[in-house]
Amino acid sequence: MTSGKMSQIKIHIKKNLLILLFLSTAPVLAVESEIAPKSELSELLTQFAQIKQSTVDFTEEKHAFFLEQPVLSSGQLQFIAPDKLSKFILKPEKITQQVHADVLKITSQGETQTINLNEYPEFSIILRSIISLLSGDHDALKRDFKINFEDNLTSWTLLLSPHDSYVSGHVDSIKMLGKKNKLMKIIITEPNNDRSVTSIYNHR
Amino acid sequence: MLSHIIHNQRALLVSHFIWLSLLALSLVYLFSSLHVVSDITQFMPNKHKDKDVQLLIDELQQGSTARLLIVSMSGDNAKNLANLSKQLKSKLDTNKNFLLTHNGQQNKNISALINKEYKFLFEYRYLLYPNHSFSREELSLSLKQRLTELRSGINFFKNTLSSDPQNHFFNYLRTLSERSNNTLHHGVWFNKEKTAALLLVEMNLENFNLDQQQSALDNIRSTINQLSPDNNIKTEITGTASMAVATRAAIQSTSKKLSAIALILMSLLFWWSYRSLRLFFIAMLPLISAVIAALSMTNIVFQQVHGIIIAFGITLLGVCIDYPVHLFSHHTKSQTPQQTILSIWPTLRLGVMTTALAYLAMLGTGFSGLSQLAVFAVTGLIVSLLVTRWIIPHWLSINFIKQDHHYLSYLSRFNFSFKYKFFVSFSVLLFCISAILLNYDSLWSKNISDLSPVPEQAKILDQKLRQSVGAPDVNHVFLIKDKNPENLLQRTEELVNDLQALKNKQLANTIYSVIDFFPSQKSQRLKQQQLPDRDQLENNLHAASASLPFKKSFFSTFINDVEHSKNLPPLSIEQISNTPLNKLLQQDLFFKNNEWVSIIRLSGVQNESNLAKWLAGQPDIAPYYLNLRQATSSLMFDYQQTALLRLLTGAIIIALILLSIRPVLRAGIILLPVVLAVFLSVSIQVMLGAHLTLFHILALLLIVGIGLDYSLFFDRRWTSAEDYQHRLHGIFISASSTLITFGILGFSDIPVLSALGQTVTFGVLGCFILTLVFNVNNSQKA
Repeated sequence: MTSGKMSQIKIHIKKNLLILLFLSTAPVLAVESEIAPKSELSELLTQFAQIKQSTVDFTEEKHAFFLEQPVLSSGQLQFIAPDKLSKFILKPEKITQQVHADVLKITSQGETQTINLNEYPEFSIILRSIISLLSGDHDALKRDFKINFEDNLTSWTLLLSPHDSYVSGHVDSIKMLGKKNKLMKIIITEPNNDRSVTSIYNHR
Repeated sequence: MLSHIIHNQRALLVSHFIWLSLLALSLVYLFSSLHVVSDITQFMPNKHKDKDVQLLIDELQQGSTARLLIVSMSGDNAKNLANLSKQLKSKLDTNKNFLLTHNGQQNKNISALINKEYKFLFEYRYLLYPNHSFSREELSLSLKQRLTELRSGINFFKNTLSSDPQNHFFNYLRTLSERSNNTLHHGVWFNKEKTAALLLVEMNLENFNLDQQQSALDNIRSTINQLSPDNNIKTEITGTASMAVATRAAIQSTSKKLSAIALILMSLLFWWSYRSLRLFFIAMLPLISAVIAALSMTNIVFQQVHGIIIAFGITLLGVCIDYPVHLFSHHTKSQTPQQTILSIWPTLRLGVMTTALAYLAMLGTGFSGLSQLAVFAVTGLIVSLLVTRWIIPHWLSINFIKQDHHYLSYLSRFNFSFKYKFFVSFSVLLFCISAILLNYDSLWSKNISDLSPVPEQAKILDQKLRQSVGAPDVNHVFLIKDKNPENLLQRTEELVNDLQALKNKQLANTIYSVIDFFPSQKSQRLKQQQLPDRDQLENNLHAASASLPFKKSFFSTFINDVEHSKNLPPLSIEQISNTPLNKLLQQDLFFKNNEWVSIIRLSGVQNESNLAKWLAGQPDIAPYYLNLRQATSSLMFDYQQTALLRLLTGAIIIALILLSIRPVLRAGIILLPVVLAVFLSVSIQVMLGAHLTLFHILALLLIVGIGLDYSLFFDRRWTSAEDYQHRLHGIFISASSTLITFGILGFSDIPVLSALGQTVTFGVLGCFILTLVFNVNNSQKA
């Protein structure tokens, strides 16, 4: 009898172990099937889509293989839905970059340079990733990137890897970190490990 | 009687045997060896007085530029057009019919570019393009600029930073791209309005065979259609090859239209005048024989036939139909056809001989086109005469009767008084003199393109597209020649240096020459000497980057490269010819007639007379200057004067022949209406605003030939009122048929042919009316 009970308990433990095991792997499986995070990302993007205009301050560090220490800059970022993004670098020198649709205008030392972004997919992908996020355009993000989204209650991480093989030769990944409907950090990593880290604060 | 018939039978057999076998031989020959060419050079002097002008024209027409096609695609939005352009380039790049396709697309990966086809040029960057920015301050500026680019995020030069921190090579390439003032849009060339994507395609041609060129053009069009099956892309292609193909197509379609309409109208004419279509087909026999024989003879003599000669020649031979017409009209039931031909033979023969002699005067002018025309016309005229004489009579039935026409008795009753004739000649002369005097300054064409058989639309398209791709302007050039390429480059450098004054005086905007991207070896050595020593550069660079965040020793490649440059053997012509710059090089420097030729082009010349004034004060520079537009118009002038002189020579020959076989007064009466008609026709053209070209002169020659026939037939002694009406009938039908053919030609798309058609139409009309006025009832009754 006792031995019978014991064996029953053993079986229970085994069952529970299996259940535990199953439960512990479940989130992993869920991430891989991209069902749950997609809906969470959609939720986040819907929140972003409601903000029609935003201005923030930023500081940026550029790390490159030829630099002893990173090059720093700071200034303001401004977004006007659906597709106007402006970056005003104020320090150490004034450089203004304005994107509207396919055209990028760079003004520095009184000279304006106009660049057609279609010709430079490696530059335009970075700008497009930010614009797509801020305008809440899920389809555009899916078109350009493999998406990995993680959300815990306090913060989220969006990891974007370009589909295009030419572009991925220049941009390895774009990582965006945020809290609720606020973008806090952008880390762009190049295949040779050069990277640019933009910290964003003072949202208004 | 029987012996006569047997003799007749034998004559028929022999003549037909000779005729048919020659025709068959000619046809076999033509099918195997006829070589039609269509470049305008055939109608240009073989040797221009100024050899340099000739050299430049040759290079433009047969050199590397002649292999280029400009392709324009429009009809969709710019983004799609740009994609189409990129796809088309990649398709054509793998097609062996084409050497290279340029659409402005640049390999954005500069480091890949430098490691591949530009590797060699990159190595030589400090020898090819001046760089004086090695001081500490300037190096510091360059490096700070690179950091700014890094901050802005748009830095193209990351991968070349260690070897070329000054972007020296990029600046060198940029000066080259500025030479072609193309508009870049979505990464490819567009026109200024950004409505059409543009490509330059270099064909892989061994010779300038029209069929090959046609298939290359078809190839491009079909590739575009494959790439955009649903879109209605409007494709326009121009270039030497496409214009030649367009010309051939226009001549073919004109010939087709012309022959179809002429066939219908002529058969109606024959039905009306002879009530017989059979006669119409018989009348075609001399013409067809003449065309076949003339083509064969021309091809035998010249190994080629110019396309325009075929079009011109075939209509010219429209005269040939006159010979059988005279035979038909003079034929009566009382005669056998043989008797009829014998009775008009002396007149026919004289007409053909005089016309043929006038054409022979065009031989030996030094213009291959004119010589071809002379051979073509003379062969054609003689063959059609021979066929009319020995073949046609056998085809006519003995009891053939033609219809009577009331207008003939009406026409034959005309009899103009001397006063009336004087009045007519006087007013025609007055009209001609005033027309010519009023338009004296613009009488002759000064524009060489007036001679070109290229359809007007193709010319306009060519100009438009050439402007959009910024094709080099060759109106103001300086041309230097030298056996030694190094000497030539040094002389080019000196001349370009002297020409800088033009920029200072704002007489020209830009001066383009080979030394912009390929300096002489002497100048390369000078650039080497000016490069800093290794130690000096290291010190300057160290000082410049001291306060900057770059890693120490990051720029060691740059320092090594500069040191390496100081010891490089200078770049030679052969070496640069094997780089992607070869296409550009060929525009400015080429080897021709055992000499190297360098071309310096001026762009943005606003005031030609000020430029001429400046040149007049520069005896060292002026001899190298060529104004192509002026040179070609003076060339046209020489050309037309030569042709005109030959026309006069021909006229004098004709007059002399007539004077030798006719009394002076009769010869005068034969010639006067023809001369008046020639002047009348010229005057009408001038009044209509045409500028006379070579082709007008050739048309005048045609009028002389046709008009002379009319005059001679009027001059023939007549035997009865019926005989007189027969000749009127013959002349009337001849004139009508000529007016039909040339009237239709007057509506041709090809300016050259329409000028020809109009001139001959007015001239022949004038000839007919004036010979009628002067000669009706003037000849003697036998």
